[in-house]
Amino acid sequence: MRLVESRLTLTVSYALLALFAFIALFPIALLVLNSLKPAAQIVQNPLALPETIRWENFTNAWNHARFSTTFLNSFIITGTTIVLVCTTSSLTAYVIARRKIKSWKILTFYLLATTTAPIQLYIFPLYFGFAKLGLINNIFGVALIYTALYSPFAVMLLRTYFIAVPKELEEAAIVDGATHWQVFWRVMLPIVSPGILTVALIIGLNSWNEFLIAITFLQKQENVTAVIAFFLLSGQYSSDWGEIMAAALIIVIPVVALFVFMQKRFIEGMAGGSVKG
Amino acid sequence: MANVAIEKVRKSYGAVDVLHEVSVDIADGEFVVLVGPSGCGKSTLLRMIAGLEDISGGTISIAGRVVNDLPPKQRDISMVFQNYALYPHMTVGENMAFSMTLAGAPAGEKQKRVAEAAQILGLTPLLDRYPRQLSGGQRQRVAMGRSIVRNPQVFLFDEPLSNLDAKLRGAMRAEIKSLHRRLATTIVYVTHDQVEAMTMADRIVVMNGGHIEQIGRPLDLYDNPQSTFVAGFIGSPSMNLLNGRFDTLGARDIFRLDDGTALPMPAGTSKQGSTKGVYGIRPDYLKLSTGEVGFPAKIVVVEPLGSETQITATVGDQTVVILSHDRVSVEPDETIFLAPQVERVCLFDEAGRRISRSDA
Ligand SMILES: Nc1ncnc2c1ncn2[C@@H]1O[C@H](COP(=O)(O)OP(=O)(O)OP(=O)(O)O)[C@@H](O)[C@H]1O
Ligand SMILES: [Mg+2]
Repeated sequence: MRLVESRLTLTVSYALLALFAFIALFPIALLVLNSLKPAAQIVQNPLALPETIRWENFTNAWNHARFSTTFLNSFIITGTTIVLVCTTSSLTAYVIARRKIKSWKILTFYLLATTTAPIQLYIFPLYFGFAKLGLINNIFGVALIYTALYSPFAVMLLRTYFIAVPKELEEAAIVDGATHWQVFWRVMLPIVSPGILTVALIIGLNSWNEFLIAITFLQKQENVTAVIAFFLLSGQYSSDWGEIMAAALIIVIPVVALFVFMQKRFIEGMAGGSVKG
Repeated sequence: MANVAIEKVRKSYGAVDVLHEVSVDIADGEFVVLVGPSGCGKSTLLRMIAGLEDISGGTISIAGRVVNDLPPKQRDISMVFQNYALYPHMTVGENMAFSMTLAGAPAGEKQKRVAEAAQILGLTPLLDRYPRQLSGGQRQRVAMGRSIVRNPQVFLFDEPLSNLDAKLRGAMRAEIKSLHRRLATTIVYVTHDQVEAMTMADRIVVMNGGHIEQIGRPLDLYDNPQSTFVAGFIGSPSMNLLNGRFDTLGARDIFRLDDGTALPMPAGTSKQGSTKGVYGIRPDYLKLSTGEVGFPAKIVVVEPLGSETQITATVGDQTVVILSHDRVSVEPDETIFLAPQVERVCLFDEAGRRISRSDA
């Protein structure tokens, strides 16, 4: 009786998982399929298998979207954002989580409030401000905006990781002779590293895919990001869908690769075993 | 190695006083246990010695040096926490060596000291494991190892055994005691378990509500509690404390319980007249008498424990516990006669303070 029941649950859960997997993978499969077809065939039937495989889609996409430069721009922006967000947010989150400053409540409230404000609200004032500072068309300027934009979220997420670390660990380190900086760097940071990894992944993904700010603040051909270059493909070359599919695939690949690669470390828990259990 | 002098130390959180002018002198190499009910301020006092908590008043000195304003690392102490607080991302060896790593000790020296400590605690095969791969008792030992490696002047323990099961606790108790004999380092040990206090301490400090009730050697506290609190706290089952008043019966001084029962008084007790008080007698010193000697009590429960039998009975509306080391055949609801060993009786005044005997 139990066996039958558990088999039923098993079947249902597998069926559901299969459905979700299908929903997640179908667009990517479509992307792969159509990136290998000439445009005419895609328009005819996007679901059909390619009659002839057209590798040129990829080379065309790479050249027309100038991925050799735009990818580099995207990497620099994403990397800079990740580094800036992770360093500043982990320090801030630690201070807030441990209530080491009097105004931690106000700061927490402020950060929570800012996560709800939409960027559209202040993108124009920001633009003029940046223009005054000569930061338009500067990819590091864009990384700075991303940092400001994503920091509140990162701080709030990391805060929960820091709160979960028992206070005694810090005290043990202090008794062991650690300075405040050593407590943070050698004890706290390694313990919350799964949280930092999570933040890095989410922030990285967001900055890689970001569109509105990138297209507003980066107007010169040589400093647009990969996503903008991809967007420009569709108008410029009267929408060769095969090429666009190939470009999309190229943009998605680093993201997918990163997630597949990081998955194991991502899930791995670090906090187990420090205290009783 | 060092002595620890705690002088009139106070601690307050805002308007709340947690410790009121506490003074203890701990000799070099002594094993002192701070014991008391939950919330009495034991951990707070220990953390003040460690430097993890500010001192609101008074002074704490270690090895003759006032440490009030010194950070923990300059106090030359080490601390074992209740939840062990092992660094989860470091192996057992790295955990134990962490203080030396921070101090920039050379690798060879580090390895030598860790190996020594691991040897003492039987941790050698576990040095490459992570804390999550250890059992509770092993983690406990690693936490102690981390302290030993530092070779401090004073060891501080905050309820290190409370997360272990009863059997392991017994074993670790013996281990800590033999460790102390071996290292002869001053130890301040916090627990709320009076058995731990009795078995391990050279001297016990009994605390209650931010005050020190009494300081003394385990058996002194057992035999001569200075207050009803200590009398009730030390020893298990705890001392019978019966309310009544001091009275006379003919020419004899007696202690009269609220229901009129007369109890014999030890000779030379100065308190007289009709003042109220408390009559304390340990369960072991209440004998079941064969004749109708002593005072009558009605049995409520009989619990044979093998080596002894614990009997709960009532005298008037007060409960007494008797521990008989002989096999006895008595039944609930039976009336028995109890004869207290008069020289073992402790008398307390109405406020719960011990009344000393004038001939003592
Ligand atoms: N940060 C704080 N603010 C206010 N009161 C506190 C604070 N920390 C502790 N206390 C109070 O101080 C008193 C003593 O606490 P402490 O932790 O020393 O108790 P304890 O004797 O160790 O008890 P336990 O056996 O439960 O560990 C308690 O009444 C507690 O409520
Ligand atoms: Mg405590």
